[in-house]
Amino acid sequence: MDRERRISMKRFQIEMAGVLVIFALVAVPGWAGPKHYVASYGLNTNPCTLDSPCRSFAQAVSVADAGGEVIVLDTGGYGSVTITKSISIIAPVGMYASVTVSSGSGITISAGAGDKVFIKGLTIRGTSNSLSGIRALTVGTLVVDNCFISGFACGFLCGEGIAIFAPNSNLVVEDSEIRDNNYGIGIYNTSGSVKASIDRVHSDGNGVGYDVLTSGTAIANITNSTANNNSTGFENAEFGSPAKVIMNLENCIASNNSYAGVGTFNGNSASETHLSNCAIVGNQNGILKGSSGTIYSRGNNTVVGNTNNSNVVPTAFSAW
Amino acid sequence: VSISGDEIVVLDSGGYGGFTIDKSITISVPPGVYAGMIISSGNGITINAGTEDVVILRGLTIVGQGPSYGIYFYSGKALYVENCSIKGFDYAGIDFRGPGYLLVKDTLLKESQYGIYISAASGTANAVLDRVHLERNDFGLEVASNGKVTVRDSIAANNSDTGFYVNPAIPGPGELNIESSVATGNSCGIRSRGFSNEATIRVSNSTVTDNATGLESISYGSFTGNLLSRGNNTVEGNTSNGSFTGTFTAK
Repeated sequence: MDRERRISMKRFQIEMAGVLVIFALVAVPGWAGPKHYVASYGLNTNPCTLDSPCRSFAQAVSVADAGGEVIVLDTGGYGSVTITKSISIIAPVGMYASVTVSSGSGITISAGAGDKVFIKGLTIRGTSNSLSGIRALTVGTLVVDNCFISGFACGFLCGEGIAIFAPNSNLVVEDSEIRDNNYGIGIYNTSGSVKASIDRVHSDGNGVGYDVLTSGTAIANITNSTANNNSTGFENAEFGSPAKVIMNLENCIASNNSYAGVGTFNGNSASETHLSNCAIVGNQNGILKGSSGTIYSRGNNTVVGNTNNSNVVPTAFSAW
Repeated sequence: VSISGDEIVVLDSGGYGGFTIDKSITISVPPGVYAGMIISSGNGITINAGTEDVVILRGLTIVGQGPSYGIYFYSGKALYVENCSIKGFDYAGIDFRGPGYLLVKDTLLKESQYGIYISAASGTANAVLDRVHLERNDFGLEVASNGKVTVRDSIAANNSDTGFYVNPAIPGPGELNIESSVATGNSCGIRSRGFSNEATIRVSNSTVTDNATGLESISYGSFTGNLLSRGNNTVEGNTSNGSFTGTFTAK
């Protein structure tokens, strides 16, 4: 490389460095603004900054702007919270951040129809008087990632690990453990549609593991997940036409459920349950079909060792 | 000091001794924290709880220096073992005595006589193993009397005797369903032994390779060692592949 080109390159590097500094100066306020922090040593009279964190989720969420993030700084309990806007609550890997309630819900969401709520890394625990671990009354999209939710068991048709009632919403649950609730994950919209994507979730020891009981419409895609030791593992139900549920199970396990591994209790003949690559073993009833709806199988499921394997021959569907 | 239903959270890395649990309790070690139990005498964790008690153990490392059991479940409603590493016990990494329910996930069990041993003197010991590695034990998993077990996405490797084993004695049969799993480098990959009771193993979407014996069925008198295939398994590259005793169909 000749001297002139070296100088030219050097100048280019200096200019680029200057551009980057300008970008950084512009970007820093944008990065710092939406973040608020909680810590076990925080105070709710603090501004919830990194240097002066708050003590509770409720305070940090209340001061955060819509679209902001609440970050957990250390292991501790951070209390129940109601969310009314787009927000993320994040406990990074390496700490234990809990919400423990003896009544009511751990996280209640009454947000706008276009709002997005993201919950990551929390342990949420309730009792026999508690309503829901995460209760989404209204929201656009709710994402639950890497959470452990247990013990919500307030009674019949009451007590859910995660319950979503919001019409026309999206629910995503990933890498989470849902245990010992009356209902593990419940989809209960009374109108509109809920689209749920559930991946790598263990819903064990509940009354019902995955419960879709709607008078609206719902599509639940459940993959790589288990329902063990519940009364019913996967339940597809609605209140009859025009309500409709489509439940797709891929690479799932339903075992040791005392009533049914996969149970459909449809009133609408248009409701569908698709089974592919699933193991349904050791249940009282492996596949239990109610009076209506259709259960489809791709012919690649293991359905053995149940007291009653199936009360129906599923309708075949083909791999593409 | 904790009461039933409490949660014990480990705050930082350190060594924690063996103990007994007699109530519902959760012990949580967050990722990034190393909670190691070095056990030179007695068991690591002994669970002698009530019939409605649920015990959850998350993130522990339990290392045996000879003595009996890493986790010994005598009684309780359910035991969940998650993200644990358990090695070096003369008898078993996890010994689960039902009736009750056991879930083991994302856990490594190695260098013990039994990685996991499951049985029930009465009732049923129900268990699910998900993403579990059973390595360099004598026996990776043994399901004995009244055990009903489902294994998925798991590996039994380099165990000096058997990878996956059903071996029921008196008083009841043993049952094991293996899905999407691997048995490799063992003396025997999968063995179903009807000794004092019926043994049943069903295998689907799994690979059995590089074992001395891939598959083995042993029957005594009227007690059959059933070893059933869904016809979607790979059993190749063993010194002796062995064979299934029958099939079951996909549905």
